[in-house]
Amino acid sequence: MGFAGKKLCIDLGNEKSTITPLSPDDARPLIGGKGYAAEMLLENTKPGIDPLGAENVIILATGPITATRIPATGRMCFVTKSPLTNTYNDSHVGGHFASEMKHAGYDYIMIKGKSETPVYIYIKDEDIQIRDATSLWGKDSFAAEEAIKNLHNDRRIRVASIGPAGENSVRFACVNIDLYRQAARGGVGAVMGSKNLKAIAIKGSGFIEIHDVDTFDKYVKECYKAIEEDEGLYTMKRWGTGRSVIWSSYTSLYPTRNYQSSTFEGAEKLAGEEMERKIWIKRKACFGCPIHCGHLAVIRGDSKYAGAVVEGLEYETTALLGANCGVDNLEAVTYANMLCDKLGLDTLSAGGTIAWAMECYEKGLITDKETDGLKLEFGNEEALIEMIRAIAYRKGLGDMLAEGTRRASEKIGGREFAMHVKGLELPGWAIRAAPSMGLAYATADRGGCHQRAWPISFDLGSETPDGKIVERFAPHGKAYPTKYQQDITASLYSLIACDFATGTIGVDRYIALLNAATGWDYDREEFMKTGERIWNLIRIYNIREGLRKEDDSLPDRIHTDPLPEGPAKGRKLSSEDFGIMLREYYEVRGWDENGVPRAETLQRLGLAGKSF
Amino acid sequence: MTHRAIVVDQMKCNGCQICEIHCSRIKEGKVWPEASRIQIFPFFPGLDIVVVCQQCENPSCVDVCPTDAFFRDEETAAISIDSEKCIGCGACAEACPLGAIFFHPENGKAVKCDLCGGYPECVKRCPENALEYRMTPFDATANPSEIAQNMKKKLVIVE
Repeated sequence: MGFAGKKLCIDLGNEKSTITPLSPDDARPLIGGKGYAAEMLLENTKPGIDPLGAENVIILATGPITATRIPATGRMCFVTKSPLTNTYNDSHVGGHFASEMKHAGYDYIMIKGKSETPVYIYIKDEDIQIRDATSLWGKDSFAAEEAIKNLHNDRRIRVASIGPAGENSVRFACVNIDLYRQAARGGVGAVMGSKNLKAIAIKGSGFIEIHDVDTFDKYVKECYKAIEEDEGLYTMKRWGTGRSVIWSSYTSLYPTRNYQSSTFEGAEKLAGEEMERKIWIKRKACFGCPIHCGHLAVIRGDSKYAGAVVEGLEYETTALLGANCGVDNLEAVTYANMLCDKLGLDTLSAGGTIAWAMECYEKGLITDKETDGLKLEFGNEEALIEMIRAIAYRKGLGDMLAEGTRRASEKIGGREFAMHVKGLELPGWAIRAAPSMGLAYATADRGGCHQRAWPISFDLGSETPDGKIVERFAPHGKAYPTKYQQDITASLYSLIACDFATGTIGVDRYIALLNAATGWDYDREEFMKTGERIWNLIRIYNIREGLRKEDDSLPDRIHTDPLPEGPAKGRKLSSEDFGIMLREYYEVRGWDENGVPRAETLQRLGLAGKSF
Repeated sequence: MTHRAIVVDQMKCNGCQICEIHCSRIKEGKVWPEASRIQIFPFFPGLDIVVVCQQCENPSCVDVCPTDAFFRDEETAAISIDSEKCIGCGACAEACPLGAIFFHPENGKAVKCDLCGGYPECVKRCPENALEYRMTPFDATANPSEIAQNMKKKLVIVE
């Protein structure tokens, strides 16, 4: 109940697929979704494997409440060893693939091995085919999705595909779903490409059983009411994540010109309000979601970018492809966004890497010789667009940038302003105006990620989960709120819930819904503890893969360069202060001074015996 | 005879499938999009085309049925199917210009919108108000692909 009840394993090496039953009892200690997938990754891969080798696996994970009618549960995640960070990666994506996958009868699909020639996987309920994709190889993501739908003559097939970037092993290549939704972060697309797997197409005709329908319906009704009445969600429904652009820049949180500043003078031109006025023509939603935060953007008229169509732009994209590259032309950023989707690049890492290259160019580390005369300066929208193409096809300088900021900076210098954590380029929330976010990035399970904890609100004055108010720029007291959010998010991502609904629906309601769907008897304490268990399990995996304390760190710029403008002008996060935060964090986590979980912590969480 | 039907504002649809969720709940007692009598078909570049029976005045589906399984509801004027009579041959689905007749995923018989006895659940639930239950003098003529092409033309989207 809640679960579809089956796991599918496809070995591309010998073209064999096996269906095994999934017992909800097995999933229960880790809920499902991200948690159970993390354990699958731990158990199905050998330590130290090459993420782009045949031994790596990709796990498509849904949760026990996916494809039910709880609002905002259309999400799923792709779990794999990341070629960008060499550690754990789960990349979440909305759209309609997750629900289709569960309707086809699968909670998990694990893909292993490597095909000799390009293939795509076609799944229609229990009919599983590994089909030739020679004619699809080289096509962009949009064209590949269209070709597959046409081939099977079914518009309702859902397709997860990679573009040329994934084929060319760009380390931050994404997986594209429903044209404009991406499992973007950490390079899942490159892993697919390394397996010669162009796409996974799925169609399901089943349904999900609910354990206690009456109770379930009662809580779903409450969810809908809460969503309708929550005034805070009005802006999300209207402007999507673009609602945060102006506020973020005003608060010094909007990364600008490779994080040199956190206030962007052109923020208003990239805001959701501006998109509503200029480019949006309709709204887009994931399966069963009444929040519908997505928008379809079309560039029309006599613009040189006319004809560009993309879903978005999301806040993160405006921050990384826009402000961080110094570009304030909304139409250009829209076009760049579309190009990233089409060619299969993560807009965040692409923006982060290009911004780093722009700074290198301005500082002379990259010259006209490498760029072939291209003026790779901040604010040059043509250079931004050219570099996206160059990276996706690994042409010229793009070949080096396709390795990501960390590897590129190890090669040519500029490490002190290479804005990444563990190799994953930082997202669009700057640190120096909200130091807690630095701790969240440094300790996130997949590298520089804003979705594991977002403690900025505590720095700005919200009460912490233990009822305290922290001092914004002081290092103390930041560890517990961050840990709390990480734990609860790990559990919610195992359901799999969406960030934009969790605040409104509330954890208690999610637990009630989980219990009604599955017949379990989770309470808040167990739910929290499960999150902590998942977090520690992933830590074990990461340590096994070579993660050390030094990796829980931030780019030098955060410690050395004070913010040049805005309300947090002059602020930086000193290494000493960061050291205090990290020490406190290890302490509240029950980890030793090297960030390794103590035996008693693992014992308490029921993880004793898991080896690093 | 004048008739009412579910009229769709295609530009308003965001593709959320909430109509499908509730249609299948009413008709089948569970969330089961493949068994829904209203279905959304995604078209490049991001258009969502809603397909639901327009209850035509001159319905081609009725004419071609070899077992006379179709009948018009006296109360709502909805064209309905007697599932006892339906043999699942698919002639009706073939004849419908809109493609608004679907096949039940379990028994393979034809299913279509019957307006829920005059209180269509999908209309009530659509979060975008893209569906309206009102009188329409038009028979269905275009298929989803043609509707999408037409929208693209109006939006000046060139592929």
